[in-house]
Amino acid sequence: MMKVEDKTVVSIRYKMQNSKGEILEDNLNGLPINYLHGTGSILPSLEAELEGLKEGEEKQIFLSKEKGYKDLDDEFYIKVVVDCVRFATDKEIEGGLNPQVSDNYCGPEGCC
Amino acid sequence: MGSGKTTAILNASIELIGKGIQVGVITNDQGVELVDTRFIKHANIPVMEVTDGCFCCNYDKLDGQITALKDRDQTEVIFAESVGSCTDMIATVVKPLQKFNKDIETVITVFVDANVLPTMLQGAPLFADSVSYIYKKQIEEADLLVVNKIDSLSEVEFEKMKLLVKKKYPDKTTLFQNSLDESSIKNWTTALADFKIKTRDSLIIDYDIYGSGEAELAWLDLEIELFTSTDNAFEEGMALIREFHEAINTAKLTVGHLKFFIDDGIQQEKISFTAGSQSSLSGNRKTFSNKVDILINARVQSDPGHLESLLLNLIQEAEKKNGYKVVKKRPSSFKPGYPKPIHRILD
Repeated sequence: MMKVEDKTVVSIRYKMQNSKGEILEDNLNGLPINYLHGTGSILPSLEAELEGLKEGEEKQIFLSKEKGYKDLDDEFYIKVVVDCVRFATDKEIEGGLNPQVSDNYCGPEGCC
Repeated sequence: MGSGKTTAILNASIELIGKGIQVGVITNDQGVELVDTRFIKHANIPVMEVTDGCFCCNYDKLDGQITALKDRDQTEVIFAESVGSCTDMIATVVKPLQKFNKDIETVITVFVDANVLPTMLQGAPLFADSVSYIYKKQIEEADLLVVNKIDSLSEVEFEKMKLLVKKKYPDKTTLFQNSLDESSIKNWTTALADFKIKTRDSLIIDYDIYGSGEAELAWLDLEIELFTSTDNAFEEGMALIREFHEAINTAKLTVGHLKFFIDDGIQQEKISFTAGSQSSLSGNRKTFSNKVDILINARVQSDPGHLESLLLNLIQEAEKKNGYKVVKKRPSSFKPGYPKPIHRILD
Protein backbone atom coordinates (compact mmCIF):
# COMPACT_ATOMS: atom_id res chain seq x y z
CA MET A 1 0.00 0.00 0.00
CA MET A 2 1.36 3.37 -0.96
CA LYS A 3 2.29 5.91 1.65
CA VAL A 4 2.51 9.67 1.56
CA GLU A 5 5.94 10.77 0.42
CA ASP A 6 7.57 13.28 -1.93
CA LYS A 7 6.24 13.34 -5.47
CA THR A 8 3.00 11.59 -4.62
CA VAL A 9 -0.46 12.93 -5.35
CA VAL A 10 -2.46 12.63 -2.17
CA SER A 11 -6.26 12.70 -1.89
CA ILE A 12 -7.49 13.70 1.53
CA ARG A 13 -10.72 14.55 3.24
CA TYR A 14 -10.49 16.72 6.30
CA LYS A 15 -12.20 18.77 8.96
CA MET A 16 -10.26 21.81 10.09
CA GLN A 17 -11.04 23.99 13.09
CA ASN A 18 -9.21 27.01 14.41
CA SER A 19 -8.43 27.84 18.03
CA LYS A 20 -11.94 29.26 18.51
CA GLY A 21 -13.50 26.02 17.36
CA GLU A 22 -14.74 27.54 14.12
CA ILE A 23 -14.96 25.04 11.27
CA LEU A 24 -12.88 26.35 8.38
CA GLU A 25 -13.73 23.43 6.11
CA ASP A 26 -15.32 20.02 6.48
CA ASN A 27 -15.43 17.64 3.54
CA LEU A 28 -15.24 14.42 5.53
CA ASN A 29 -18.49 13.28 3.89
CA GLY A 30 -17.72 14.83 0.52
CA LEU A 31 -15.21 14.65 -2.27
CA PRO A 32 -11.51 14.70 -1.41
CA ILE A 33 -9.06 17.40 -2.31
CA ASN A 34 -5.82 16.54 -4.09
CA TYR A 35 -2.35 17.96 -3.59
CA LEU A 36 1.18 17.21 -4.65
CA HIS A 37 3.19 16.16 -1.61
CA GLY A 38 6.66 17.54 -0.97
CA THR A 39 6.34 20.76 -2.89
CA GLY A 40 5.09 23.10 -0.20
CA SER A 41 1.73 23.55 -1.90
CA ILE A 42 -0.17 23.00 1.36
CA LEU A 43 0.74 24.22 4.83
CA PRO A 44 4.27 22.92 5.41
CA SER A 45 3.33 21.93 8.96
CA LEU A 46 0.43 19.81 7.74
CA GLU A 47 2.58 18.32 5.02
CA ALA A 48 5.09 17.22 7.66
CA GLU A 49 2.32 15.58 9.72
CA LEU A 50 0.98 13.68 6.71
CA GLU A 51 4.35 12.27 5.67
CA GLY A 52 4.35 8.49 5.87
CA LEU A 53 0.58 7.98 6.25
CA LYS A 54 -0.94 5.18 4.20
CA GLU A 55 -4.13 4.99 2.17
CA GLY A 56 -7.13 4.60 4.44
CA GLU A 57 -5.35 5.96 7.50
CA GLU A 58 -6.86 8.70 9.63
CA LYS A 59 -5.03 11.15 11.83
CA GLN A 60 -5.97 13.78 14.36
CA ILE A 61 -3.50 16.61 13.98
CA PHE A 62 -2.88 19.61 16.18
CA LEU A 63 -0.79 22.33 14.63
CA SER A 64 0.65 25.16 16.69
CA LYS A 65 3.66 27.41 16.83
CA GLU A 66 4.58 25.76 20.13
CA LYS A 67 5.02 22.51 18.25
CA GLY A 68 7.62 24.22 16.10
CA TYR A 69 5.46 25.19 13.16
CA LYS A 70 6.47 28.77 12.60
CA ASP A 71 4.38 29.29 9.49
CA LEU A 72 1.07 29.38 11.35
CA ASP A 73 -0.99 32.37 12.40
CA ASP A 74 -3.30 30.36 14.68
CA GLU A 75 -3.69 26.90 16.19
CA PHE A 76 -5.54 24.31 14.18
CA TYR A 77 -7.20 20.97 14.88
CA ILE A 78 -7.43 18.87 11.75
CA LYS A 79 -8.94 15.44 11.30
CA VAL A 80 -7.57 13.96 8.09
CA VAL A 81 -8.51 10.83 6.18
CA VAL A 82 -6.11 9.73 3.44
CA ASP A 83 -8.22 8.34 0.61
CA CYS A 84 -5.65 7.71 -2.08
CA VAL A 85 -1.94 8.05 -2.74
CA ARG A 86 -0.33 7.67 -6.15
CA PHE A 87 2.93 8.64 -7.79
CA ALA A 88 2.79 12.00 -9.54
CA THR A 89 3.42 12.09 -13.26
CA ASP A 90 6.39 14.03 -14.67
CA LYS A 91 3.96 16.61 -15.99
CA GLU A 92 2.41 17.07 -12.55
CA ILE A 93 5.83 17.39 -10.93
CA GLU A 94 6.91 19.97 -13.46
CA GLY A 95 3.74 22.01 -13.81
CA GLY A 96 2.01 21.46 -10.50
CA LEU A 97 -1.21 19.63 -9.84
CA ASN A 98 -3.89 22.27 -9.68
CA PRO A 99 -4.44 25.13 -12.09
CA GLN A 100 -2.23 28.07 -11.34
CA VAL A 101 -4.80 30.80 -11.62
CA SER A 102 -2.65 33.76 -10.86
CA ASP A 103 -3.71 36.19 -8.20
CA ASN A 104 -1.33 38.67 -9.72
CA TYR A 105 -3.40 40.74 -12.04
CA CYS A 106 -1.26 41.57 -14.97
CA GLY A 107 2.12 41.32 -16.63
CA PRO A 108 4.41 43.99 -18.01
CA GLU A 109 1.96 45.01 -20.70
CA GLY A 110 -0.59 45.97 -18.11
CA CYS A 111 -2.99 43.23 -18.93
CA CYS A 112 -3.70 39.70 -17.79
CA MET B 1 -7.27 26.36 -18.08
CA GLY B 2 -7.56 22.77 -19.21
CA SER B 3 -11.25 22.68 -18.34
CA GLY B 4 -12.36 21.76 -21.86
CA LYS B 5 -13.64 25.12 -23.12
CA THR B 6 -12.19 24.87 -26.61
CA THR B 7 -13.45 21.33 -27.14
CA ALA B 8 -16.93 22.32 -26.00
CA ILE B 9 -16.92 25.39 -28.26
CA LEU B 10 -15.77 23.33 -31.22
CA ASN B 11 -18.45 20.68 -30.72
CA ALA B 12 -21.18 23.23 -30.01
CA SER B 13 -20.20 25.12 -33.17
CA ILE B 14 -20.43 21.95 -35.23
CA GLU B 15 -23.84 21.18 -33.74
CA LEU B 16 -25.22 24.67 -34.45
CA ILE B 17 -23.75 24.79 -37.95
CA GLY B 18 -25.51 21.47 -38.55
CA LYS B 19 -28.78 23.26 -37.76
CA GLY B 20 -28.00 25.97 -40.28
CA ILE B 21 -26.95 28.58 -37.74
CA GLN B 22 -24.02 30.83 -38.66
CA VAL B 23 -21.38 30.46 -35.96
CA GLY B 24 -18.10 32.27 -35.33
CA VAL B 25 -15.42 31.91 -32.69
CA ILE B 26 -13.12 34.46 -31.10
CA THR B 27 -10.04 33.10 -29.37
CA ASN B 28 -7.95 35.00 -26.88
CA ASP B 29 -4.55 34.58 -25.33
CA GLN B 30 -1.32 36.32 -24.55
CA GLY B 31 0.58 34.80 -27.43
CA VAL B 32 0.57 36.06 -30.98
CA GLU B 33 -0.17 32.80 -32.72
CA LEU B 34 -2.76 30.79 -30.90
CA VAL B 35 -3.07 27.03 -30.84
CA ASP B 36 -6.81 27.35 -30.22
CA THR B 37 -7.24 29.34 -33.42
CA ARG B 38 -5.62 26.59 -35.45
CA PHE B 39 -7.76 23.99 -33.71
CA ILE B 40 -10.99 25.81 -34.59
CA LYS B 41 -9.86 26.81 -38.09
CA HIS B 42 -9.05 23.20 -38.78
CA ALA B 43 -12.76 22.45 -38.42
CA ASN B 44 -13.62 25.12 -40.99
CA ILE B 45 -15.33 27.39 -38.49
CA PRO B 46 -14.85 31.16 -38.92
CA VAL B 47 -12.44 32.26 -36.23
CA MET B 48 -10.91 35.56 -35.20
CA GLU B 49 -8.47 36.21 -32.43
CA VAL B 50 -7.71 38.80 -29.80
CA THR B 51 -4.05 38.47 -28.91
CA ASP B 52 -1.62 40.14 -26.50
CA GLY B 53 -3.92 40.27 -23.52
CA CYS B 54 -7.39 39.66 -22.23
CA PHE B 55 -10.71 40.93 -23.57
CA CYS B 56 -11.08 43.61 -20.90
CA CYS B 57 -7.90 45.45 -21.84
CA ASN B 58 -8.49 44.81 -25.55
CA TYR B 59 -12.19 45.60 -25.60
CA ASP B 60 -11.97 47.57 -28.83
CA LYS B 61 -10.25 44.67 -30.59
CA LEU B 62 -12.94 42.31 -29.31
CA ASP B 63 -15.64 44.70 -30.50
CA GLY B 64 -13.94 44.90 -33.90
CA GLN B 65 -13.77 41.15 -34.25
CA ILE B 66 -17.43 40.76 -33.33
CA THR B 67 -18.32 43.33 -35.98
CA ALA B 68 -16.11 41.57 -38.53
CA LEU B 69 -17.75 38.21 -37.87
CA LYS B 70 -21.23 39.73 -38.09
CA ASP B 71 -20.51 41.68 -41.28
CA ARG B 72 -18.28 39.20 -43.09
CA ASP B 73 -19.94 35.93 -42.18
CA GLN B 74 -23.40 37.06 -41.07
CA THR B 75 -22.67 35.31 -37.81
CA GLU B 76 -25.62 34.74 -35.49
CA VAL B 77 -23.83 33.07 -32.60
CA ILE B 78 -20.31 33.90 -31.46
CA PHE B 79 -18.35 31.91 -28.93
CA ALA B 80 -15.69 34.16 -27.40
CA GLU B 81 -13.22 32.19 -25.31
CA SER B 82 -11.31 34.34 -22.86
CA VAL B 83 -7.93 33.54 -21.34
CA GLY B 84 -8.13 31.28 -18.31
CA SER B 85 -6.99 33.93 -15.85
CA CYS B 86 -9.48 36.59 -16.91
CA THR B 87 -11.99 37.87 -14.42
CA ASP B 88 -14.16 40.94 -13.82
CA MET B 89 -15.84 40.12 -17.14
CA ILE B 90 -19.27 41.53 -16.29
CA ALA B 91 -18.02 45.04 -15.61
CA THR B 92 -15.39 45.19 -18.33
CA VAL B 93 -16.89 43.19 -21.21
CA VAL B 94 -20.52 42.18 -20.75
CA LYS B 95 -21.91 45.51 -19.57
CA PRO B 96 -19.99 47.52 -22.20
CA LEU B 97 -21.35 45.15 -24.87
CA GLN B 98 -24.87 45.70 -23.54
CA LYS B 99 -24.32 49.44 -23.56
CA PHE B 100 -22.64 49.86 -26.95
CA ASN B 101 -24.00 46.89 -28.93
CA LYS B 102 -27.60 46.70 -27.94
CA ASP B 103 -28.38 44.01 -30.51
CA ILE B 104 -26.05 41.54 -28.81
CA GLU B 105 -27.18 39.21 -26.05
CA THR B 106 -24.38 37.85 -23.90
CA VAL B 107 -24.22 34.75 -21.73
CA ILE B 108 -21.19 33.93 -19.61
CA THR B 109 -20.40 30.24 -19.28
CA VAL B 110 -17.64 29.30 -16.88
CA PHE B 111 -16.10 25.86 -17.35
CA VAL B 112 -14.60 23.98 -14.45
CA ASP B 113 -12.93 20.60 -14.44
CA ALA B 114 -14.79 18.13 -12.22
CA ASN B 115 -11.45 16.70 -11.11
CA VAL B 116 -10.18 20.05 -9.92
CA LEU B 117 -13.31 21.72 -8.56
CA PRO B 118 -13.45 19.91 -5.16
CA THR B 119 -9.87 20.93 -4.41
CA MET B 120 -10.41 24.54 -5.42
CA LEU B 121 -13.66 24.89 -3.49
CA GLN B 122 -12.65 23.02 -0.36
CA GLY B 123 -8.88 23.33 -0.13
CA ALA B 124 -8.41 27.03 0.56
CA PRO B 125 -7.52 26.74 4.28
CA LEU B 126 -4.76 24.26 3.49
CA PHE B 127 -3.02 25.85 0.56
CA ALA B 128 -0.04 28.12 1.09
CA ASP B 129 -0.92 30.21 -1.96
CA SER B 130 -4.29 31.82 -2.57
CA VAL B 131 -4.71 29.62 -5.62
CA SER B 132 -8.46 29.59 -5.42
CA TYR B 133 -9.21 33.32 -5.22
CA ILE B 134 -9.51 34.17 -8.92
CA TYR B 135 -11.00 30.75 -9.60
CA LYS B 136 -13.88 31.47 -7.22
CA LYS B 137 -14.26 34.99 -8.58
CA GLN B 138 -14.63 33.57 -12.07
CA ILE B 139 -17.35 31.18 -10.91
CA GLU B 140 -19.18 34.08 -9.23
CA GLU B 141 -19.56 35.71 -12.63
CA ALA B 142 -21.03 32.69 -14.39
CA ASP B 143 -24.53 32.83 -15.86
CA LEU B 144 -24.05 29.15 -16.56
CA LEU B 145 -21.59 27.01 -14.65
CA VAL B 146 -20.44 23.96 -16.58
CA VAL B 147 -18.85 21.22 -14.50
CA ASN B 148 -17.01 19.41 -17.24
CA LYS B 149 -15.39 15.97 -17.50
CA ILE B 150 -18.02 14.29 -15.32
CA ASP B 151 -17.37 11.06 -17.21
CA SER B 152 -14.29 10.69 -15.01
CA LEU B 153 -16.43 10.45 -11.85
CA SER B 154 -18.04 7.36 -10.36
CA GLU B 155 -21.77 7.46 -9.59
CA VAL B 156 -21.09 8.08 -5.91
CA GLU B 157 -18.61 10.83 -6.73
CA PHE B 158 -21.08 12.40 -9.13
CA GLU B 159 -23.77 12.55 -6.42
CA LYS B 160 -21.27 14.13 -4.04
CA MET B 161 -20.26 16.60 -6.74
CA LYS B 162 -23.86 17.69 -7.19
CA LEU B 163 -24.21 18.18 -3.43
CA LEU B 164 -20.97 20.18 -3.29
CA VAL B 165 -22.00 22.55 -6.08
CA LYS B 166 -25.49 22.94 -4.62
CA LYS B 167 -23.97 23.78 -1.23
CA LYS B 168 -21.43 26.29 -2.56
CA TYR B 169 -23.57 27.80 -5.36
CA PRO B 170 -27.23 27.20 -4.51
CA ASP B 171 -28.54 29.78 -7.00
CA LYS B 172 -26.25 29.05 -9.91
CA THR B 173 -27.55 27.40 -13.08
CA THR B 174 -25.23 24.43 -13.37
CA LEU B 175 -24.72 21.87 -16.10
CA PHE B 176 -22.79 18.67 -15.50
CA GLN B 177 -21.33 17.59 -18.77
CA ASN B 178 -18.79 15.76 -20.85
CA SER B 179 -17.86 18.04 -23.74
CA LEU B 180 -17.07 15.06 -25.96
CA ASP B 181 -20.63 13.81 -25.58
CA GLU B 182 -23.20 15.02 -28.09
CA SER B 183 -26.14 15.14 -25.67
CA SER B 184 -24.10 17.18 -23.18
CA ILE B 185 -23.28 19.71 -25.87
CA LYS B 186 -26.94 19.89 -26.88
CA ASN B 187 -27.87 20.61 -23.26
CA TRP B 188 -25.36 23.43 -23.19
CA THR B 189 -26.46 25.05 -26.45
CA THR B 190 -30.09 24.73 -25.34
CA ALA B 191 -29.25 26.37 -22.01
CA LEU B 192 -27.45 29.16 -23.86
CA ALA B 193 -30.43 29.75 -26.14
CA ASP B 194 -32.93 29.59 -23.29
CA PHE B 195 -30.99 31.79 -20.93
CA LYS B 196 -33.00 34.80 -19.85
CA ILE B 197 -30.91 37.88 -19.38
CA LYS B 198 -31.23 39.09 -15.85
CA THR B 199 -29.58 41.77 -13.80
CA ARG B 200 -25.95 41.02 -13.36
CA ASP B 201 -23.80 42.28 -10.53
CA SER B 202 -20.30 43.38 -11.35
CA LEU B 203 -17.67 41.72 -9.23
CA ILE B 204 -16.53 43.50 -6.15
CA ILE B 205 -12.84 43.87 -6.82
CA ASP B 206 -11.17 46.86 -5.34
CA TYR B 207 -8.79 47.89 -8.10
CA ASP B 208 -7.30 50.62 -5.92
CA ILE B 209 -6.26 48.15 -3.29
CA TYR B 210 -5.71 45.11 -5.47
CA GLY B 211 -4.35 46.75 -8.59
CA SER B 212 -2.23 49.44 -7.04
CA GLY B 213 -0.92 46.99 -4.47
CA GLU B 214 0.26 44.82 -7.32
CA ALA B 215 1.61 47.77 -9.25
CA GLU B 216 3.83 48.74 -6.33
CA LEU B 217 5.50 45.38 -6.46
CA ALA B 218 8.65 44.85 -8.43
CA TRP B 219 8.63 41.61 -10.36
CA LEU B 220 11.90 39.78 -10.69
CA ASP B 221 12.18 36.51 -12.57
CA LEU B 222 15.55 34.85 -12.82
CA GLU B 223 16.79 31.36 -13.57
CA ILE B 224 20.23 30.36 -12.34
CA GLU B 225 22.43 27.29 -12.45
CA LEU B 226 24.62 26.71 -9.42
CA PHE B 227 27.72 24.52 -9.84
CA THR B 228 29.70 23.24 -6.87
CA SER B 229 32.95 21.28 -6.76
CA THR B 230 31.40 18.88 -4.27
CA ASP B 231 28.03 17.11 -4.26
CA ASN B 232 26.21 19.60 -2.05
CA ALA B 233 24.71 21.86 -4.71
CA PHE B 234 21.19 21.34 -3.38
CA GLU B 235 22.21 22.48 0.12
CA GLU B 236 24.09 25.46 -1.27
CA GLY B 237 21.08 26.40 -3.35
CA MET B 238 18.80 26.22 -0.33
CA ALA B 239 21.25 28.34 1.65
CA LEU B 240 21.30 30.94 -1.13
CA ILE B 241 17.51 31.05 -1.10
CA ARG B 242 17.48 31.61 2.65
CA GLU B 243 20.10 34.35 2.30
CA PHE B 244 18.05 36.12 -0.35
CA HIS B 245 15.00 36.02 1.89
CA GLU B 246 17.05 37.33 4.83
CA ALA B 247 18.53 40.10 2.68
CA ILE B 248 15.04 41.25 1.71
CA ASN B 249 13.97 41.21 5.35
CA THR B 250 17.09 43.10 6.39
CA ALA B 251 16.37 45.72 3.75
CA LYS B 252 12.84 45.94 5.22
CA LEU B 253 11.19 45.30 1.86
CA THR B 254 7.64 44.01 1.93
CA VAL B 255 7.23 40.65 0.25
CA GLY B 256 4.29 39.95 -2.05
CA HIS B 257 5.64 36.53 -2.61
CA LEU B 258 8.97 34.87 -3.12
CA LYS B 259 8.87 31.60 -4.95
CA PHE B 260 11.73 29.32 -5.78
CA PHE B 261 11.84 26.09 -7.69
CA ILE B 262 15.03 24.19 -7.02
CA ASP B 263 15.89 21.15 -9.08
CA ASP B 264 19.02 19.01 -9.17
CA GLY B 265 17.63 16.70 -11.84
CA ILE B 266 16.37 14.16 -9.34
CA GLN B 267 14.94 16.08 -6.43
CA GLN B 268 12.74 19.12 -6.88
CA GLU B 269 11.37 21.45 -4.29
CA LYS B 270 9.16 24.49 -4.43
CA ILE B 271 9.87 27.01 -1.72
CA SER B 272 7.48 29.84 -0.98
CA PHE B 273 7.72 32.85 1.25
CA THR B 274 4.84 35.24 1.54
CA ALA B 275 4.20 38.28 3.68
CA GLY B 276 2.15 36.21 6.10
CA SER B 277 4.15 33.04 6.39
CA GLN B 278 7.74 32.35 7.15
CA SER B 279 8.82 29.61 4.85
CA SER B 280 8.20 26.14 3.65
CA LEU B 281 11.75 24.93 3.60
CA SER B 282 11.72 21.25 4.33
CA GLY B 283 15.49 20.80 4.24
CA ASN B 284 15.02 17.11 3.51
CA ARG B 285 17.77 16.60 1.01
CA LYS B 286 17.80 13.09 -0.32
CA THR B 287 20.01 13.45 -3.36
CA PHE B 288 23.54 14.57 -4.04
CA SER B 289 24.58 16.63 -6.99
CA ASN B 290 27.14 19.20 -8.04
CA LYS B 291 24.57 21.27 -9.94
CA VAL B 292 21.13 22.68 -9.24
CA ASP B 293 18.80 24.86 -11.27
CA ILE B 294 16.91 27.51 -9.33
CA LEU B 295 14.01 29.45 -10.77
CA ILE B 296 13.24 32.61 -8.84
CA ASN B 297 9.96 34.56 -8.95
CA ALA B 298 10.12 37.51 -6.59
CA ARG B 299 7.27 39.98 -6.07
CA VAL B 300 8.60 42.55 -3.66
CA GLN B 301 7.66 46.12 -2.83
CA SER B 302 10.74 47.75 -4.25
CA ASP B 303 12.27 49.31 -7.31
CA PRO B 304 12.89 46.54 -9.89
CA GLY B 305 16.49 47.63 -10.46
CA HIS B 306 17.16 47.68 -6.73
CA LEU B 307 15.69 44.22 -6.27
CA GLU B 308 17.72 42.82 -9.14
CA SER B 309 20.96 44.40 -7.83
CA LEU B 310 20.26 43.03 -4.38
CA LEU B 311 20.00 39.50 -5.72
CA LEU B 312 22.89 39.74 -8.17
CA ASN B 313 25.22 41.22 -5.52
CA LEU B 314 24.18 38.50 -3.11
CA ILE B 315 24.98 35.84 -5.70
CA GLN B 316 28.35 37.44 -6.44
CA GLU B 317 29.27 37.52 -2.75
CA ALA B 318 28.06 33.96 -2.26
CA GLU B 319 30.22 32.78 -5.16
CA LYS B 320 33.30 34.32 -3.57
CA LYS B 321 32.48 33.13 -0.08
CA ASN B 322 31.50 29.58 -0.94
CA GLY B 323 33.64 28.89 -3.97
CA TYR B 324 30.86 27.86 -6.30
CA LYS B 325 29.87 29.18 -9.70
CA VAL B 326 26.52 30.60 -10.69
CA VAL B 327 25.38 30.98 -14.29
CA LYS B 328 22.47 33.37 -14.69
CA LYS B 329 19.81 32.94 -17.38
CA ARG B 330 16.74 34.86 -18.45
CA PRO B 331 16.77 37.82 -16.04
CA SER B 332 13.66 39.94 -16.13
CA SER B 333 12.70 42.68 -13.71
CA PHE B 334 9.92 45.19 -14.11
CA LYS B 335 6.92 46.86 -12.55
CA PRO B 336 3.70 45.30 -13.73
CA GLY B 337 1.25 47.54 -15.44
CA TYR B 338 -1.86 48.54 -13.63
CA PRO B 339 -4.85 46.68 -15.06
CA LYS B 340 -6.30 48.93 -17.71
CA PRO B 341 -9.72 47.80 -18.81
CA ILE B 342 -11.08 50.03 -21.56
CA HIS B 343 -14.48 50.15 -19.83
CA ARG B 344 -15.56 49.24 -16.35
CA ILE B 345 -19.26 49.55 -15.64
CA LEU B 346 -20.28 48.77 -12.09
CA ASP B 347 -24.04 49.28 -12.14
